[in-house]
Amino acid sequence: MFKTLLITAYRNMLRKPGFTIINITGLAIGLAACILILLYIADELSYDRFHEKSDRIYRITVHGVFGNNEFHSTYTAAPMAAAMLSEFPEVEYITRMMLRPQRSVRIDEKVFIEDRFFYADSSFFDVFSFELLAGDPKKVLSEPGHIVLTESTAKRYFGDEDPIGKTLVEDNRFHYTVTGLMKDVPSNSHFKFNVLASFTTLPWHSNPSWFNQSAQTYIVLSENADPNEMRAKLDPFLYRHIGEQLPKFLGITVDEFEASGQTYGYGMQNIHGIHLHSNLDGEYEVNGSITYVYLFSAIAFFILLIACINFMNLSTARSVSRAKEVGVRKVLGSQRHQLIRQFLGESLLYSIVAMIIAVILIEISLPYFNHIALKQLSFNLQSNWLFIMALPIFVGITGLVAGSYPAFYLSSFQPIKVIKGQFYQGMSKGRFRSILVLFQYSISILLIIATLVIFKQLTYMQDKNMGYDEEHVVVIKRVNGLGNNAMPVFKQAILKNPDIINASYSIDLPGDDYSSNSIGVAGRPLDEINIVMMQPADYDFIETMGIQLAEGRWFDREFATDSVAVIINQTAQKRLGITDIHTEKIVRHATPPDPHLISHIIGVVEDFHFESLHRPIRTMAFYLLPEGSWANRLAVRVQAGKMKETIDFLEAQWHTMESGQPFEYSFLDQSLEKFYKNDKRTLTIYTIFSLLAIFVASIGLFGLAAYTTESRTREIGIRKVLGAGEPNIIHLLSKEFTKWVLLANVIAWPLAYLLMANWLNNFAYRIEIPWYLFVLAGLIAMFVALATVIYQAVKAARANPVEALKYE
Amino acid sequence: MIKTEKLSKVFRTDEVETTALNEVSFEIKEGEFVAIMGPSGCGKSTLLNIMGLLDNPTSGNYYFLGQDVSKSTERQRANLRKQNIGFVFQNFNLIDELTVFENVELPLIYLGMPTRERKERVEEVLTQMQIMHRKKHFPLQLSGGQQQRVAVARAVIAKPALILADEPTGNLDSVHGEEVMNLLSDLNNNGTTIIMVTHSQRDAEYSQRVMRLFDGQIINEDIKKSSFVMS
Repeated sequence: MFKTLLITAYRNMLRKPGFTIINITGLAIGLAACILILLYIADELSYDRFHEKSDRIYRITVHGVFGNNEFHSTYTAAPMAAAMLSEFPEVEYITRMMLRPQRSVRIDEKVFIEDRFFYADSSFFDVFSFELLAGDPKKVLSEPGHIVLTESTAKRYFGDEDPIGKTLVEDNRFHYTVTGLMKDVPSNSHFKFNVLASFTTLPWHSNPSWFNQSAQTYIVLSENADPNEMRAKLDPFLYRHIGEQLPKFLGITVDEFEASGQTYGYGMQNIHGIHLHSNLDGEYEVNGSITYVYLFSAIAFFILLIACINFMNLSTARSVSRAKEVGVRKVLGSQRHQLIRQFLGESLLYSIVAMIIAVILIEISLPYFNHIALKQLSFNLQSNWLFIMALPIFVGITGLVAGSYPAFYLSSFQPIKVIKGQFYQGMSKGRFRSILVLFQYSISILLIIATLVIFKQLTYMQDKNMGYDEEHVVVIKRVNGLGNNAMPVFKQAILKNPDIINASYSIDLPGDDYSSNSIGVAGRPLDEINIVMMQPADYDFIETMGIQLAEGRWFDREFATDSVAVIINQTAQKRLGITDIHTEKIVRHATPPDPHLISHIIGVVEDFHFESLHRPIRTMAFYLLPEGSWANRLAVRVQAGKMKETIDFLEAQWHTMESGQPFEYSFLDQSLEKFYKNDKRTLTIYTIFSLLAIFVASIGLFGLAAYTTESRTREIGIRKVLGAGEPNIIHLLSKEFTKWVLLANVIAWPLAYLLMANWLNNFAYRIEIPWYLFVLAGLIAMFVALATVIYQAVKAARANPVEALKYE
Repeated sequence: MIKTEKLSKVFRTDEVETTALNEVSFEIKEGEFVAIMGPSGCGKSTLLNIMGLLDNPTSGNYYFLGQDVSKSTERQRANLRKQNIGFVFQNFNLIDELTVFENVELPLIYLGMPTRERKERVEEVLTQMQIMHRKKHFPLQLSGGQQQRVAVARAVIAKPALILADEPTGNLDSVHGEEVMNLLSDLNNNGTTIIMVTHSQRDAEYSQRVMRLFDGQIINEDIKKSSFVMS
């Protein structure tokens, strides 16, 4: 029985090779696309689950409303960890962590720049399950000056030598001895580091202020602790501790603070949720987003569904030719359920073959997919055994979904009618197929619109006036490596080059993680506070950056008092409610309050985007960075077309300073790109997969058109005899499908609008979805459908009608 | 109306070359009713297809309404066809998905006639063929005789000068067959030229002239009745 079933299925595959190829190609592409996306999603969902205690690890977050500013951040104060550990028995372990990008690491004469330099408390390995290859997890970070290297970092620093006991110097300041060696951080960790230094090395570790927040804090709750109960205890705990410091910091008590409607509180995030659900200030990297996981799941599901629909459509379209077989089998005694089994068996065979091809396709395309998805996914038994074990289930479901309708439909034929040749394929079946085509095209159009909208939004962000002139500016990083005394010398030296228009030292530049401070307006109640992003910069900043002044002036060497002056952006002016900059003064808060931190306002700059366009422009305050003081960035504006030689010049000049520090640079116009990584990835993936979707839908349509045309051969013949010309016939055959494609727009447009309007809400600065994108998507789908059908239609229209009528 | 000179049609497949028509020459004048007879495979249908401008001859000349059409393109033939020729087939060749009305209407659509005129004309012809009460039915709901009446209605709807009938009674019983032959006869009496391929001697009786075909050649022609040939 099973053997005949297989043989019939196999022969059926061979008998109609076109049908078989279309079905298997469609299913294989559908399966491959679906599995690739599932691998991606599985990776996104696997973040941070490798820690043994991951379901008990929480990150402490800080939320509040100060004045008009709402903030959500991961930065916590230094004394919090010890207090939590001693006051909460349910906190089993706690560790503070801090990432400092762009640290220089000196080993004898060699200097390395570490972008992912981490500090953590000695309990780090109690909280997280990173594998230590050498060293005692309890002791590797227990003293100041202890440092743990990852395997690849150790190799980079010391080659094949044993790194344990070796010494290195961070930023010419902190001296370390390597105490531990660990495996590289897995790619599905929400924080990645190359170097892990002991937290106590940082002087900040003992900072007593509850208002100075710079480190992230992670806790492990004990097994029977209730996280919600714990959450409820956090705010009382916080107020207990800031109660003492608040009057000094803001001049009011906790009660007065709360009465003024301002809030301040702690929260807890389970580590599982960080990668996909968290987007706070001070994330270690640009996280993923659950929205994209949903969007990608949808596309995976839809592509496979389109492929399954192809199968259903072509199988039922072929039913005329299969009807006789069914009739004969039934007359010979076959039961309906046996026929159902036969047809399901056939579709299973198709999906097995398709899966084999899909696996090959995945193997071939995975490196490319990794490239566009910015992942290191692998597809093999070692790393995805569970996934691979699930493939047969996948095949089974696909086979059943694709085969169910044809199986029940085909097996329902009445044997007598079929054998007598009275089989007549009702319009209703053709209608059902058309509805499936309608569905396929609705999905395709939806995906095309989504792709176009994402493209449009990304183009908009790229072309948007950022409020500063980002072109032709090279940014030299870590300029403090030159040493404070050498920095002014270096700047003067490079300005002699006529190709260099201007240069400016600053701590941060757009795209950097700005530090913030709370400020208020002098003379107003102390609790009217605002969070501002701090932008210390030198005299040449505004000209180098091409930022526009809205009011007043920039820092000027002529005015000695500018060293205590402040310039704010328009948002800050609005938030602080400053009407006259000449009379109002800005107060920077500190514990204890410092009268030197009262600054007069000398200017207001027009708002510019120093952060991603996902978020609105925040308040910013500029302070003068005196010559020779610590700076991190040097922005250099270069004549257009002279970039390459100027960079060579800058590098040569850098090395004449003999700092021994490496020369590193980037371009200002690329500084915000990292924020759009997810969006760009989505665009690429959507482009590729919507093309695949429409391709799979098209090969299905092609097959369907072939069968429809074949079954209408006689009709076409008659029409031609009666005087129909080629255009009439082509029109007749094309309109059958094009009307469904047109109708698909009606379904796809509103859905796409809702979906994409929702997606655009992720951006503070976004496009209005233009109407013509919908029309364009419709036209693309129509064009593809027409191109698909037209071949069959023309072939049918050109055929000699006599041939069609001869063998009646 | 129709004149052929050494008309030949050769079918080639990979292995075989079949001469369906072998240098056939004849003339049919306007208003004639000609029956073509002969055994299966003698080339009757091939000849009918060429005369109906559905196919081109391999060699020789074919003059339709005085115009040499043996080398015409498909487009030119289609234009001549839809204006001048109506077809009646043995198996009716109605389109199952269209109603009686829609089937009959088709040639007018391809002639580009406006909807209102089409409706009038179709109803006129359906009434004439006594099938008006069936206009909303689908072909499969009709008897063979009714189907053939619809087919004849469709053939005459565009008032063609020539009707080509390929065994029009072949699928009908004798009563329905006679009905159809009477219809054709009436059309001929009203001036339409009719060329009919048939196996039936009885049907051939309705014609004025019988052309006998054997192995692709005309073996004899006999004039059954005196005809009133209009030149």
